[in-house]
Amino acid sequence: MSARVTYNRLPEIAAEIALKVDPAVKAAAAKIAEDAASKVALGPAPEHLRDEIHVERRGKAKYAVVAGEASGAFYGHMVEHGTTHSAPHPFLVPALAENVVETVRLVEEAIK
Amino acid sequence: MSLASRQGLYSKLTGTSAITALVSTRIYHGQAPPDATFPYIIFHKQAGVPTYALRSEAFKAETWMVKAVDRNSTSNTSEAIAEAVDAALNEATITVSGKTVADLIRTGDVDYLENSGDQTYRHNGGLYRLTLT
Repeated sequence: MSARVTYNRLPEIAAEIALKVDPAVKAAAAKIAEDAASKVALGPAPEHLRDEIHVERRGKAKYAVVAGEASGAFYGHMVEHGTTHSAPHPFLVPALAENVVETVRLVEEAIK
Repeated sequence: MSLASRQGLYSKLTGTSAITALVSTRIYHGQAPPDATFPYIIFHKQAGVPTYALRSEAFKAETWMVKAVDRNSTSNTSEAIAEAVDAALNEATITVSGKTVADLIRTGDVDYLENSGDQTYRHNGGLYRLTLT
């Protein structure tokens, strides 16, 4: 009679990696937010869209770059993708696309 | 540098009967004319990032938004158009003059309402990454 015990460390390793790369992902998100802000017009007062571009933490090594607040400059998505009266003026997608290589580099550095 | 990509996408969209059955030839780059009939399709380049190797462009990744716009009380029509667009573009073959298309894939959704006066406009579509070599 024999018994086999399998100990799977993969979830543990994944959690460790997430913890380790968290600062790198946060830094990359901050750079994307900064670049997005440089690509968009200030926006009308009182809540300027450009001033409301920020980073939100959504979990371990998970960050979102958000443009606007529901109660303030809510129209970030309309600037990005356009309306029936105005053409798109993308600022988030290009900021993300232009930072993919740098984001990967930062994460690689973090797990070395 | 997006003329060839734009023409390639436009040809694909206008050459797909499932799409023209829903919007006829009302497919516009960037913005529709003020008197355009709803529904229609808008497509626009959202980003383009070249990657260089040995001082020349090795490939370029472009992100294109393609969305249906409808003035309606439900999103049924705009979503149906978005699905027809997705069937035509996602993992599809298109011709881009002077380039080789490495891939064309959907990378995200576009889905929002626009309220203007007493009208509601529905925007439904997707973001597509076009990789050219």
